[in-house]
Amino acid sequence: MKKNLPIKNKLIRCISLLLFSVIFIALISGCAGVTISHGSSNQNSASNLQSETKNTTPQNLPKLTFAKNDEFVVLISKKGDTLESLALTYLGDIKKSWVIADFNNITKITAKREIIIPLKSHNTIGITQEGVQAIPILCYHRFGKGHTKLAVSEEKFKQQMQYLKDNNFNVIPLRDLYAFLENKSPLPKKTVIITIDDGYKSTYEIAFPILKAFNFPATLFLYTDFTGARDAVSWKQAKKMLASGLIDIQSHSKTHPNMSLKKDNETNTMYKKRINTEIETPEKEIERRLKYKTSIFAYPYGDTNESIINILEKNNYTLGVTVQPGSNTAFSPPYMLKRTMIFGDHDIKDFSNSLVVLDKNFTHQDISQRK
Amino acid sequence: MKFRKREQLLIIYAALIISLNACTSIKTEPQPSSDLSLDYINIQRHIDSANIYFKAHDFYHSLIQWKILHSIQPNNTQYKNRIKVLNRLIERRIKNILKNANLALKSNNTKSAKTRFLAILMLKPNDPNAIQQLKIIEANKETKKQARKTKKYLLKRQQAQNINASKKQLNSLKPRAFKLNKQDHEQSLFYLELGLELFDKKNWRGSIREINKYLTTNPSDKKAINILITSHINLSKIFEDRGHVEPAIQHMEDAVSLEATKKSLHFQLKKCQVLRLMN
Repeated sequence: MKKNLPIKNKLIRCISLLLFSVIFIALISGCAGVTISHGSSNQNSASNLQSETKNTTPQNLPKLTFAKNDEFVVLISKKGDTLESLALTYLGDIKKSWVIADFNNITKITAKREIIIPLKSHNTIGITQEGVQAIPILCYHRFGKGHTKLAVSEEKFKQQMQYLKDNNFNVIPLRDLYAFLENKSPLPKKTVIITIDDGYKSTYEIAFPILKAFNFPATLFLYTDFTGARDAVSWKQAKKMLASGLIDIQSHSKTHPNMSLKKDNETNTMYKKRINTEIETPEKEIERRLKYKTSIFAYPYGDTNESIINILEKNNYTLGVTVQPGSNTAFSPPYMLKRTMIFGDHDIKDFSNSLVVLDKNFTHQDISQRK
Repeated sequence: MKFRKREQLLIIYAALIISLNACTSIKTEPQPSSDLSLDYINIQRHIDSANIYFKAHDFYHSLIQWKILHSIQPNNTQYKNRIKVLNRLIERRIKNILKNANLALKSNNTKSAKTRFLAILMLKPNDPNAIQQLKIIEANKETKKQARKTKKYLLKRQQAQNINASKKQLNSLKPRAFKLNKQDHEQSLFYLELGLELFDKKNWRGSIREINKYLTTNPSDKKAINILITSHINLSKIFEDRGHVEPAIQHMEDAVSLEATKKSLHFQLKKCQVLRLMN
């Protein structure tokens, strides 16, 4: 039968077979082009999804200017819309304007721009391909001209606050960090916290007016045996600062000892009793004098241990700060938060280096390698 | 005739495959988005973004884009399916990474475990298990750091005590120089300053406590020793006035031990001792 075929038919058959094989090879190579190596177990579903995605470019897309469900609001901005006005309308709080700014990667709203407003917190820990969100806590002691390294001059402090303002840092009170550490609420991308230890008089005389001018909140840690002394803030001044709403007053022990060190010949019971006094007395003193309940503790010299943390927990303290340098992520232990000391001999470059807002200890590439 | 039919079928089949292939290779590359001035929501831009994120293995952000698309067109079942499939893919990946993370934890390789838990969070930022594990890892790390610091302090204190002991033992010999680093120097100055503040406030007990702390690292500061002696004397007088002879004697003894050559101190001590005999 085959032998009887006309040459024309044979030719057609050959061409068709050739064509078919070319098409087959092209198809195979095309598929290989879209296949992504996602690891053995997920390879099939990933490539299926990819090819499925390719097939679903919608045609006749609708012309919409507003859309909303329980997760997102998508809209085209109108003239006069601001981050604050949209935050108030859709998030119910003008202070949440940063949520819109961060999600859309913008600093202000211009007309006729697509804006997405997330109604739910999708990423409370602030993780991105570049790293994990980190919150630096700055630690100051004294201000003005002083012979110790711990004194930051008025000019330098002003310059540092100006730097925070010019670079769009969000300065928040330390107590707001608690919800972030509990993974309940996210924080703006560039967040920084200011704390001042000991309660020297210069806090009231120099730092407070500057903080007021910039409208930056700060937390002042007092050790109550010192408060009211010659070089320290008075209780009246502390009250005034607290009333301003900018300065939060918290505890820094009674006598400023190194609480992690047991004295010679001190039994465990004696040690715990002493630590208890160092934690409870200032708490009561601040409550009595300022009618204010403390919830954050700054360890003198930044040193702590398990016994101290246990007592803090029992006394309903929520956060504890050390002087371990570095920034804090959402995984940082709430009773051992890091703080970066700002010294008088720091220039603005040193200062900017201490403002680490992204923990780059890992990258997306690292993760891709660990499939 | 039979062959012709077969070849015709083959050609039809080939044509079908060509058209199918053309369909699958619809352009998925990102198109330039004209988001500078828009009259309508740019749906195509979100589809492109979702695809780009997917190609970059950033499944979480791809999922977010599909969710945004779902909020724009809730009736589009394709978006719903995309979300479903992507969620399934993410969960499967998390399961695999978690297996390795737990293995790393078992072998005490916390660095590797940390990276893997972070990888889980890249896929699902609110994963409670990964967050909890990372919190434990971080807490252990910080606790170890604190313990190391305390140990260092204790060692320094021990060294200072040894120096004091040798000073007492070898009265005529000068003590071995105890070199303080900058931070310790700042701290010891802080104790002195606080001691002086408390002295000014007539808080003798507090002054004694702080000056003693300062003297552990600066044992030869005469000014501080004099402040300490005065605080002991004043406290002793207070106890004496209140009729508490024992603590009064104790403080006078402390004062004498600091300055054994001062006759007035010995006299005051004797006075207290006489009071004790009279009582």
